[in-house]
Amino acid sequence: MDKHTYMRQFAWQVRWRLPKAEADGVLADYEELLGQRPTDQDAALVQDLGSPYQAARLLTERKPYYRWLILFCGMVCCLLLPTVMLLRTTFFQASTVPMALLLLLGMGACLIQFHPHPGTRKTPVPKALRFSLLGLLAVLAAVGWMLGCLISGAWTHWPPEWYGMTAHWTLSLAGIVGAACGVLGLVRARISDRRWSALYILGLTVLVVCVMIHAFLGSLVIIDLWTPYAVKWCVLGAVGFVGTGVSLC
Amino acid sequence: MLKKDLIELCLLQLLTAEDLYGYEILRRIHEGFPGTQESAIYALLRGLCKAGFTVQYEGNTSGGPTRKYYRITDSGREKRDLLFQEWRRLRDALASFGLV
Repeated sequence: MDKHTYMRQFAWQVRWRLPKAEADGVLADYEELLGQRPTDQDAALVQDLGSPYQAARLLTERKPYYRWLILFCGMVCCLLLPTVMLLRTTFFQASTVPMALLLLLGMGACLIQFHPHPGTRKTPVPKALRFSLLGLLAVLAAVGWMLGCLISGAWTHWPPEWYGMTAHWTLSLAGIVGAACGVLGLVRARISDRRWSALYILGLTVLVVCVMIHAFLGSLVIIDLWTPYAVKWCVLGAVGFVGTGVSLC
Repeated sequence: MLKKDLIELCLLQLLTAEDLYGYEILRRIHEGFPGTQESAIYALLRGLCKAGFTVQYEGNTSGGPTRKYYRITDSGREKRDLLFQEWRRLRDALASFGLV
């Protein structure tokens, strides 16, 4: 393993395990240490230093690391629970309150964990993050378009028996994409830029809205009475958008 | 007294003589404890720094690149004395069994 590969793998491990400020210090030290090592000793790198995983583990303080792991699992659970509900189509009538709670819980935990530190230099939002956010917004727009068509009866040349299946798959796929983006956002927020947490919040928002729409479509409520339900979806969506914006600051 | 304490004692003793930069410290300790990986030595060095027994500062050798040097603090000297006393007690105990 050469120095570059070692450093790359070590950086991943360290950033995952240590708080940002500490990880920055350790990586700067290792950069210097590896820089001073003769290049002809690259073959003995793992033997002398230990694997990147071992080296990072030695520097890990258990308490803060376990606290992070618990928080991470909690935030992933906020994504997992609605995903399971969506895929098993097990909804109950009053899905608004639990979904709102999950959104607020996940969003709150995320905003607290990845809040900006004073004195941090402002850098442009990563390109990949911008594209991911735009992609998720496109998914949300597709859900809105599908719902609009369903309510307005725009699918005139579409067999009625396909309506349910189309709605189910659109919402399920959108929800899964939201959940996957949410996990990706969390991991990237920890190891690269804290603003990736915006992807987690937006992903959670998309997922929660999809579950609520699915619950509405699966209930026995007449579809013409959609307005009060739409208000709830819009309110939760707006809360999610605000959270996404805040995490990008 | 564990091997970890012995390495910490050596680290502090090394820095009592002169301020040293990271790679030099790791190299010298690794020579004395070849079975210990450098990452473990670095972790101990960082632990001493976090506990306030050493401090880190940036300096450069004549014309050379800027490096992070380590300096022992007063509490570091106290810690070194404490570890050294412990080591002597342990050595005396072993001597009473005819082991040293």
